[in-house]
Amino acid sequence: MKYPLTLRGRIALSAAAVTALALIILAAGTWIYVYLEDLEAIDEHLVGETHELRADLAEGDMDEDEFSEDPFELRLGLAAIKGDGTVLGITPNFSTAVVDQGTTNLGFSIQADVDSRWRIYSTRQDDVLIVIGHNLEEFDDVLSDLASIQILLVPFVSLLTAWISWLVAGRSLAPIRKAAAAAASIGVTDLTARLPTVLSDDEIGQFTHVLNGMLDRIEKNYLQAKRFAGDASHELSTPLTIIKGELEKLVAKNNLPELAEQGIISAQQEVDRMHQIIDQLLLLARFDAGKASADYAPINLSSLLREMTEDVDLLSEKYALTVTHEVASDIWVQGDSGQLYRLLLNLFTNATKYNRPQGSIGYHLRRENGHAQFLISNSGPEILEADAERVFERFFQADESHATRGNGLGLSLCREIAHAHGGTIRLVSSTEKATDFLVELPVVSAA
Amino acid sequence: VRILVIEDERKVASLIAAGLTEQGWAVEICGNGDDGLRLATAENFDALVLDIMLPGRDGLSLLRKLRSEHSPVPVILLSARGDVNERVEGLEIGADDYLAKPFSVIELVARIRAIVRRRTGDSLTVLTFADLSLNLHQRTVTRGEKLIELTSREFALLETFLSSPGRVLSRTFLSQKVWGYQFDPETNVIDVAVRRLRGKIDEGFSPKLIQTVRGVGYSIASE
Repeated sequence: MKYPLTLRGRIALSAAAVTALALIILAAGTWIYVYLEDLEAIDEHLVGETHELRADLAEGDMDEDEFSEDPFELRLGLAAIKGDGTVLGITPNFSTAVVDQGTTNLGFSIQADVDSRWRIYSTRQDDVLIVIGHNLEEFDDVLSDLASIQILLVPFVSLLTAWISWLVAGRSLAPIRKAAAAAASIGVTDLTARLPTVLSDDEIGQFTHVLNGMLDRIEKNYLQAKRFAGDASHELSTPLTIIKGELEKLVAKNNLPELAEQGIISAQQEVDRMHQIIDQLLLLARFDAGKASADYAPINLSSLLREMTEDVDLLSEKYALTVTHEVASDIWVQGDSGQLYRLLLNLFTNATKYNRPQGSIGYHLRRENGHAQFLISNSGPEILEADAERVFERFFQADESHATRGNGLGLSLCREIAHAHGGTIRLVSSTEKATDFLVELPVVSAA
Repeated sequence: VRILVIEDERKVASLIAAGLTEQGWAVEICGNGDDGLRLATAENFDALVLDIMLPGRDGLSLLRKLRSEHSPVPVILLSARGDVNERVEGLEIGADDYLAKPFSVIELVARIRAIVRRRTGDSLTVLTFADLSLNLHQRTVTRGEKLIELTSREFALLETFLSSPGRVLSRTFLSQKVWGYQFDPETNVIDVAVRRLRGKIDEGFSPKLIQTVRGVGYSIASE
């Protein structure tokens, strides 16, 4: 499942949504409650006024004063109308239109004229219709003010909540962000790095603690695995010396039966292969231990490459390959000539071995942006894009059938050598026609 | 010529001894550092083959002790580590050569011979076989009266053959020795290089000197 937002964003957004929903429900409830309470109070007031008027009416002492405007009760309108339509009295603030509407239905109702709204209570006493109204202007004002405040408050508080939870989430998640950054850097540089320790005992603190524990175990295993290759190769070198010596001794004997001779020669070839693997593993172990770059000195890469022209020629003869090259003079790099030689010879060997008869090899050495660029191109089989990185892995074989044999260490060694020299090696492109490897090493001034 | 081999692996020691005896040299074997030091100081040897990892006193400390007593005996160190630092350290404290395991006994014998010759004042600037001669200083090769032009790899190849006359040298051995690199068996670099060398030193001459030993490798020998 993929979210378009970060965890932090989602936390802030959901906090805001929950707050908004709660506030809306609360606001609506409050508004309805105030509405009902106020209306009830008005109604009670109207009923009370009605009783007074009725009493006055029953006693017959109703006069003009009854309907004069009460300066303290402008909200209240009174009207009394006889059955024949004779108006016994009406307060001047009361509109006849409202009263007329009020006469049509007894009891409580809300009526409006052009400029005001009224709560009306109409009752009948004998022949007289009593209509009492309460002007709703204030009531409406209060409710609309309340609504305005609520409408403003809901988004404001929601945004505030969003902002606060954004901050809090950010602060709580900061150790995770740091941990992620730290974890990303581990392995690129070295495995000894650990996540920053969080002192708190909360989930994040526990999380970093667990991760660091895991890293401890990984580092230990990694070091063990790394040392293992070196140690194993080391231990194998003495028995291999013995086997080699015994076979050499046997081969020196003449008049061996042919069967024995063939067996010995075959065994010798395999011993040599093992020797080569052990050699490379030891060198790789030395790179892993960071010891291989201790004695680097300025090397004239151009001269080294020119000295190898003969080797390329020897290598390519078998397949009748056409070799073209272009080597710029006096390109110096800081390094070890033995290792660089090995790097180049590995690439030349591959370019020859993985090629077609009458194919071609082209290479050039140039200076480009402070780097020595060695590009080697051959007409070999295509390396699939999926394998572009994997060819540099130890013991990787592009061809699972091992039709063209190699031990799969050559390119990984090339990469180690390039890295130890502060440079890179990569597969630039590979098509059916040509495969290009590029080595880049930082240039130094001549010794 | 008398050589002391200080090596605790019995099989390795006896293989070295066999290779050296074959040269007509006398060999003494010793299995630990303390006895080795005693022997080396008490008796006269023309060269020492010294393993670094030894029971008792280790090879490097033995060598240090020997040099502090001003013993000039040439020493070849053997090591299973093949570590550059160890090699440098060994040479700094006075070893004459260093060989990493797994090594070839042929190579060891050739190196000891070079050291012994240097020591007995036998200048090693010219290697010869039959009417072929190779001058290491002038870097020239002649067969009979004729000067032969060789490329740098051909020269190194011929030098290797002339250092072990009569010995059959495998392709791997030649590859390691001349290029310091083991070519993939898929490539036939060694065969091509030998064929070219042969074209220069054997073509038009008699007898042919470079022999192919089927399946095994090559050697320099008279037919």
